[in-house]
Amino acid sequence: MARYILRRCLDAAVLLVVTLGVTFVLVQLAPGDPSSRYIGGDIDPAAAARIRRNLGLDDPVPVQFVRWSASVARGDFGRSFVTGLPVRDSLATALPRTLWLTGVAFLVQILAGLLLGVPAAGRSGLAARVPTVIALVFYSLPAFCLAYLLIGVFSLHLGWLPIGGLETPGAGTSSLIDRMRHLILPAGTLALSGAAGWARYARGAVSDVLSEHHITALRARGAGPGLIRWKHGLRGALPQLITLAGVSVPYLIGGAVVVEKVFAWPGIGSLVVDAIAARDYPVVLAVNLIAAMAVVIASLAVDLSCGWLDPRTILASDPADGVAGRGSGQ
Amino acid sequence: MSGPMHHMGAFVPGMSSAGRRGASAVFSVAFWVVFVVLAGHARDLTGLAVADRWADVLLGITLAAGSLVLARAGGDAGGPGRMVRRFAASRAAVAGLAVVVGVLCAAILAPLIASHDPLAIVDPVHTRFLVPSADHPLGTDRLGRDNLARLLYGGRYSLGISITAVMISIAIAVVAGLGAALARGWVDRIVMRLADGLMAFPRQLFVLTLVAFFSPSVGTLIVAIAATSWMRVARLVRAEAARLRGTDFVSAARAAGLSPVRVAWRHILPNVAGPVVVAASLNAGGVILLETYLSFLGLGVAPPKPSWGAMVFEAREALSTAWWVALWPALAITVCVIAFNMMGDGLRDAFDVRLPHPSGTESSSIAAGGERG
Repeated sequence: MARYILRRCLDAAVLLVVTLGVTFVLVQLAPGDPSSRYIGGDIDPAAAARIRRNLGLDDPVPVQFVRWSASVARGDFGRSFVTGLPVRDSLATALPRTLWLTGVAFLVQILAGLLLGVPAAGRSGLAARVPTVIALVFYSLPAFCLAYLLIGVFSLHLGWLPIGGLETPGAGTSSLIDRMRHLILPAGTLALSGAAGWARYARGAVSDVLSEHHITALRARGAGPGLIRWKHGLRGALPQLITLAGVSVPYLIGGAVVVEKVFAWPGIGSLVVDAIAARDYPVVLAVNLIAAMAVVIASLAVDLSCGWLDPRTILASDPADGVAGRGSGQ
Repeated sequence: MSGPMHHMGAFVPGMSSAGRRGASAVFSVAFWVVFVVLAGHARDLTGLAVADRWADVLLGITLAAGSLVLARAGGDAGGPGRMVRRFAASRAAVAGLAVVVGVLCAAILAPLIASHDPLAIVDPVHTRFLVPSADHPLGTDRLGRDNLARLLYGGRYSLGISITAVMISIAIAVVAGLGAALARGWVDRIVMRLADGLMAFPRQLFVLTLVAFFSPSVGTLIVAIAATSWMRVARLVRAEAARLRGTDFVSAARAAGLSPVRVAWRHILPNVAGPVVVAASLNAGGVILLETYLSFLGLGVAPPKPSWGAMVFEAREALSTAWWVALWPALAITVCVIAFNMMGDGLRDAFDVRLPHPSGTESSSIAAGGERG
């Protein structure tokens, strides 16, 4: 177990370094070198060279990479090209809002998926086909189309919910209810896109477990069908469901980018789309890096909890060919 | 996959399936020639018009390479009759294939079908947001342009970009996967770590970022989508190739003095066929979604050129008054992606490949999970 944890942590660390490297390459590719902020117009070439040297831009690229990584580790992502403010400050405002949105959507989609999928497990016919068809439709419907559909019905037609934003502007101190009302549509869009997939997957995973021998043994002993399904079936399917939870992290982040834009939700999705439009590279790269780190950490968490829940994972993941293993767990 | 044994046909002279494979290569190259010629027909409106001629040439070469790889892959895999029978046995798969072919034909033949110019703004005041009629079967948009024409030409962009990007990503994936598996050692390690690292970036976000680094254009879009779509397939190709590396027929080919490249091309690639074809068709759905996201966010096909994502974006202001304007492109995207997925599912079953469906099914193999485009 200790060896497994160590290996997974090492894998994740290597992966983090690779993502840092990819981001650094993009930083290098970004037009406009950091010195251009200080060097304008017709400046003496000698002075320009001095400024570049002082900023460390003459150092070998590996040295620059290490220095840049160290500053990123301290949470310093540089300053926005547009506002001139530290990127960290805009992230500090936007990130909690995105976490709030994606967190709620994540929980809702898992709950809805389990409530729909687990009762259908082990049953065939319509119970099997309906979630599959719905999952395929929701997968194929772009999130922005779903968002407009919900806006059209609940905001424009029925007038129940606000079209977008974090809270009603000018309402003074924002009430919790007002915030919740603003949250329903964006979180609902995100959750709906994933819930059907969860239902389909939960059904499959629990069905597999229900056909195993220990379940038959439980039935023979007279355990109730509800208990078997919800306790023992779900317990057995847990490693697979946790894996799916890990896989859905990049989906949620990617979905949040579009959904935040549609609903004018001022999180990192809106931040990054606006930054891309304005060619504000420091902000764009910081968001990418944070998203990648979230994914790496999520996949590490998945690997570790699966190893803890099901020791067979540990044995299976120790092949001679390390790279061919589960990798990022995505 | 039917295993290496079937491949002996290509290894033993006289039993070669090269003819069949050649035919499918010719077919897929011909498909692209037709597409490119029709594209040239209305150059500004095509799915393949890139900024300059060199980019066009480069794109053509890459496409041809991608087609060849797919043809090479698709031509073998042992007993195509059995594959076709298994594919045809699934009603959903056949329906998906039919829709895909239908939509492709509609996009390619757009100049012949559409009775209006997709860009012409005749009278933006009096003909805007017309309800569907005989003259405008799908109505008109906010500038009085014909929705049907825009939908058809938009399909050329959305499908042209997506399919091209998938082809390029497959070409990259095959080269990276085969290269990694056969070179082993540090090449293998670096390529696979890079693939892992790139997979950690959420795809929609990363494609947006790549597009932002270069000027948004059709060419940039294709390259950015391809650059973020090859990793999973490369992983798959690598795993299959690593398995085949140790088989007797590969050792025999090597012992016969064939160069590594020739061994890879003639003896390993045809056996990696199934997974590659399946991955290509399952990827296509996600890539179409990705393209519509980018166009929706204004980083894809630049207006006034029509693309499905941009059409939804443009229709959003009239959501309460002329909702059908947004409905057509939304339907087109959804139907297309569903069709590609059903076709991919059918192919997966026909080739008997263990590959997860992107919308999250197929237990046990979810670890390699799909990612929503």
